[in-house]
Amino acid sequence: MGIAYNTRINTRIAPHLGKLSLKNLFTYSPTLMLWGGASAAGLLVFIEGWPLFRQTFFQKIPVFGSHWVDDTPEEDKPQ
Amino acid sequence: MSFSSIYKVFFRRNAVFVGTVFASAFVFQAYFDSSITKWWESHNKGKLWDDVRLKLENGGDGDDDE
Amino acid sequence: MFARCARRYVSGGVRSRFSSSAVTRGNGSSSSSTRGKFLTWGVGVVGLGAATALYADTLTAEAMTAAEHGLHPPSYEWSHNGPLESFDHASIRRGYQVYREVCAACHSLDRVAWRTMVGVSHTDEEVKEMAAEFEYDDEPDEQGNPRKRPGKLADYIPGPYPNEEAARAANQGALPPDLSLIVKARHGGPDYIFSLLMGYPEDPPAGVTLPTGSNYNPYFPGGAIAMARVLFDDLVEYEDGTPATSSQMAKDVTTFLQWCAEPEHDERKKAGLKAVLMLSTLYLLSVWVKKFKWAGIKNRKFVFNPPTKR
Repeated sequence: MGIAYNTRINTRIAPHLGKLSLKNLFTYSPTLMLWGGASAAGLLVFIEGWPLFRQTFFQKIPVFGSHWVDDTPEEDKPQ
Repeated sequence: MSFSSIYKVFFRRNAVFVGTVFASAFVFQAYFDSSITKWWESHNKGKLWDDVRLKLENGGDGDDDE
Repeated sequence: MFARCARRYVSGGVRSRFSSSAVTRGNGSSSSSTRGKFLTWGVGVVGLGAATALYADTLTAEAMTAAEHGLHPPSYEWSHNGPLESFDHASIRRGYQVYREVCAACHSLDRVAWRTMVGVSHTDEEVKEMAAEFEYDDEPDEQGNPRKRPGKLADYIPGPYPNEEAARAANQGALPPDLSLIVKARHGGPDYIFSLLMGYPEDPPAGVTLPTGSNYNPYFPGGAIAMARVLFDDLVEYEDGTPATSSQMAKDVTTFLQWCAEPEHDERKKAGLKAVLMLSTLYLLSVWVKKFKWAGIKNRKFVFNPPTKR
């Protein structure tokens, strides 16, 4: 009577992308969220001078949105 | 607010630190720019085109003070 | 240089003549003293000659004199002097009127476009009207005939002459310079332009002979300028009621020309203020950080306890 040896270790590989697994993602999520906020703030700095964004967003900021309102009269703009 | 609590809030996590830097840069540049412009306009009052145009619109025969 | 060579030649000759005859005494003292005498005389003659030549040169109004370089203009108190002062835009506006009614008869302003004046000295409507008074080349029509169109904001201010040859032909061979950058292009800047415009005396001083077709102006290098005095009292009528004295017009047109040469002037000074404020703040901050970081190191005390012999 032979003894049945279970030679294979019963493992499953967790789903991952490179070193990034679901568990890792979950652990890092607060930090990643903070980095998202930081990069959003960085983006704001760099699009600050862009007329499209000035008109779409910045002018509508409650208190100091008036900074981005172009108060040059129409007659002083070459057009 | 002690230094250690400042440290805990702003410096401990790099993401918070970088975010604080960018956010304050955004607010500061707007505030700094508008205050400098305000000072410039009051310092050079009467010489800038806005003032000159208003003066010309309100009847151009007023005495011009150099 | 020539004098020095000649002197060396002469003294050498003298020395050789003496050495052939009287050298038997052997110490050569008389030869060296004669040589010294010749040297002294040579130096004296050359020095006197040079001094006489230099003095004679100062008697004529030619090289290396104030007359050649032009009189140095006094420094005037322009309202835009100083690192934080903007142009006086009312003055720029009046200055354009003076340019248009007086200077533009001969001088071009090639590098200034109409659009740059909007919001600086005139409104959009006014500049459009001013530009439309001039004709510019348009695209040819279907038969290929050239056409003209009224000017628009994007056009550059047209000059009085089609080309340099026409300008010279109309001014007895003298070319009226383009005024776009003239304030930057002349030593003394606005002070020079103002002094030149106001610097025409009634008559040239005694002894000055001018070439035909030129006028005397001490501020102009050489003194003889082809342009005659152009600004006289009440030549133009200002819309804002400023009395049009000739000095007022000279001041206004100089301010206008300085704006032409430096249209970025106001923005530059504003940006300079911001840069200086930021950089000095950062500098002070860096000084503080340096002191903070080094405090511990600089205040360390090293104590050396030498081993004692027992």
